[in-house]
Amino acid sequence: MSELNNNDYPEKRITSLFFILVVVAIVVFIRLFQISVLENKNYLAQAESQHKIIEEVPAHRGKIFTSSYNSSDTYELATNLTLYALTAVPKQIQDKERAAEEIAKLLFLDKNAILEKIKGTDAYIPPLAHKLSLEQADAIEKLDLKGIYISPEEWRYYPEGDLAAHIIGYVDTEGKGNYGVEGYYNQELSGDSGAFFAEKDVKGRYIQISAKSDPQDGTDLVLSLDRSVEHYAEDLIKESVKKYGAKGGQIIVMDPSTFEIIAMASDKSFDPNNYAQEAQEKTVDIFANPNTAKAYEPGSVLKVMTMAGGLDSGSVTAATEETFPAFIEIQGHKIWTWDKKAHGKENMTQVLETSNNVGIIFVQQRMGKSTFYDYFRDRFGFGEKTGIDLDSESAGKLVSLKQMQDVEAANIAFGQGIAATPLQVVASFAAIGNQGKMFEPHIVKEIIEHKGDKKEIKDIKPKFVRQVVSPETAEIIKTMMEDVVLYGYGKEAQVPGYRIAGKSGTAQIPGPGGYLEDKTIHSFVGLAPAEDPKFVILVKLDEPATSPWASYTATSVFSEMASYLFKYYQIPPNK
Amino acid sequence: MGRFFTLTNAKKNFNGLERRRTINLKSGAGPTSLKFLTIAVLAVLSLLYLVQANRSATKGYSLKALEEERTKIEAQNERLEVEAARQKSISEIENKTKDLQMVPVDKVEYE
Repeated sequence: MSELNNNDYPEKRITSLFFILVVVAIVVFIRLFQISVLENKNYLAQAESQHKIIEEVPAHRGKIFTSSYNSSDTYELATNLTLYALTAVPKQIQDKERAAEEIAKLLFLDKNAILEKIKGTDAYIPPLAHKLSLEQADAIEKLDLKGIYISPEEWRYYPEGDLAAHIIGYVDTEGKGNYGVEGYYNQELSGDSGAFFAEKDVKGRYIQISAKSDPQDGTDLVLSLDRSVEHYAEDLIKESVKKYGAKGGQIIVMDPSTFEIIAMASDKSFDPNNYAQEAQEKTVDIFANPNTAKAYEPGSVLKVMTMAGGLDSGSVTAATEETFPAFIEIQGHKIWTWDKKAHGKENMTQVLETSNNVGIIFVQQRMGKSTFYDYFRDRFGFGEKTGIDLDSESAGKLVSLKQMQDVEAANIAFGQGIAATPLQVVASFAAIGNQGKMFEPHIVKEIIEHKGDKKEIKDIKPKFVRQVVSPETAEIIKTMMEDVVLYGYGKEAQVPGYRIAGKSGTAQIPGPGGYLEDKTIHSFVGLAPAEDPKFVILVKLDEPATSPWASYTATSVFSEMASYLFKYYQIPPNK
Repeated sequence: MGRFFTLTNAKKNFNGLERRRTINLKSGAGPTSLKFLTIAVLAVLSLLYLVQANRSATKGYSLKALEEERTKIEAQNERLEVEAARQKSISEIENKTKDLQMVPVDKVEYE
């Protein structure tokens, strides 16, 4: 038996060994399968990363241009500038004392502050400095300091400084556009990055570029803004705010035939080159465009829209006459004429000339709430965004038809109890000046797309929105507005030799518990020249101190702006 | 296998039969020579590959240097363009018109 066992022993050992080998072979096979098939991509990537580089080639952000009427040149409002960042990897720096000293000497920085940042053994710390010039970057590279690196950074530069800052917006440190055109067209301006794939040596130097995809530079934009008009409008509103002791003010100049913005100025502005500093020194609110992002109660300028609705719906005619008392009582509320006097018998033109609150409520009541609402909301578009290509537009506020009480409708008829942006107001006047046709206001008139070395220029055509009133009504209301300037409270808006159509408004400002005492917003909106309007101009002054009436403040500013435009565009007088 | 390779010249006679004739030439290349020959060819090919790879790497370095040079020139160009834009800005022009004592148009006469 023991002999037999002794004889079986080698066979058992061989069998056992065979099984062990089979098991080992299976394990090896599984592992091999795992590495070469299941984790193939991972290992392949690891192997490639040791000798291959994939480097992103960033696209250049598109530029923003403006033009000038008397020049074929375009001018850069926003462009790009390559500057350099200084970065450090503390754990790679051998002589930290020397590195800090040399950098401090070159960049006029505090040596100890630099030493404090690089004294650790971190693999990453935030860049030591940004916006270095090419000369500074070269000088640092020549020092050949181990662990100190220079990398290019693209910065946005605004050559015109604070000119049209609310229209342009700014680009933040992440490269994202904010506010204005930069915000609205951020995607188009950004473009698409490219990349190249190369093999590298042990020192990380490129040996061979195996593939390359070119970046697609961002789209360039040409604005309808005329920089000379914008500059004049900005200067004028700043001077006017001082002259009339106002808290603020805005001017918009629009082409009523295309709804292109020619100028959009505010007395307050900011330098987009130093937006972070501006936000600290002023408030973040400074970036919002007061012409498109902030709504106010426009006051009597909206009487034009009520009258246009009344005429267009057939509720009244220009010749309709009525005797008007000093006030009207609606739902227990007394609404007075602005001078608290009875205006007596007036026709509809005179209602506008004397800016008669009671007279315009008469028109609104003849229209009925539903028709009145239809004209304000669905035709002139109050309470909804105009669709302008600028970031952060406000829709304003118009109460719904269901919620609109009779007294609210009466107030809205003369521009109180409704909030609108200056842009909405100017667009509604532009529709009157454009034979009743409303287009979408816009600021970009041309898009230049880069396709490799080629450029493709696309014009932006005005986008028709709706027919607000008939051409006949538009013509009648324009004539009535001319009479306002000739015989009514818009006389200060006159420009000798030219026909002007317009309307002033002195609006009360709502506050807690009712309207604020002695605080008003003055505005004047007009078409010039009246017979074939080339511009619609809005002037708005917030809380002027020198006069309680817009007919002595905003109206005069309008006249100055219109005079400048007639000379600038060389429009000869016609009367 | 014989000591030497034998070179023959085959040709058909008039009866269609093949006649094989030994050419009286004998090659002096033996197995050792062949080994040397093979090694030499491989060495030359390796050398050629190395030269080519080296050339490619050198071109890669030159390309990288040229790319860096181009980037610098582009940056300089960009800086000049930005400076030109700043000089053309309306505030700069306004300052210059003041220096030149220019005044705005007061009255325009149309014919």
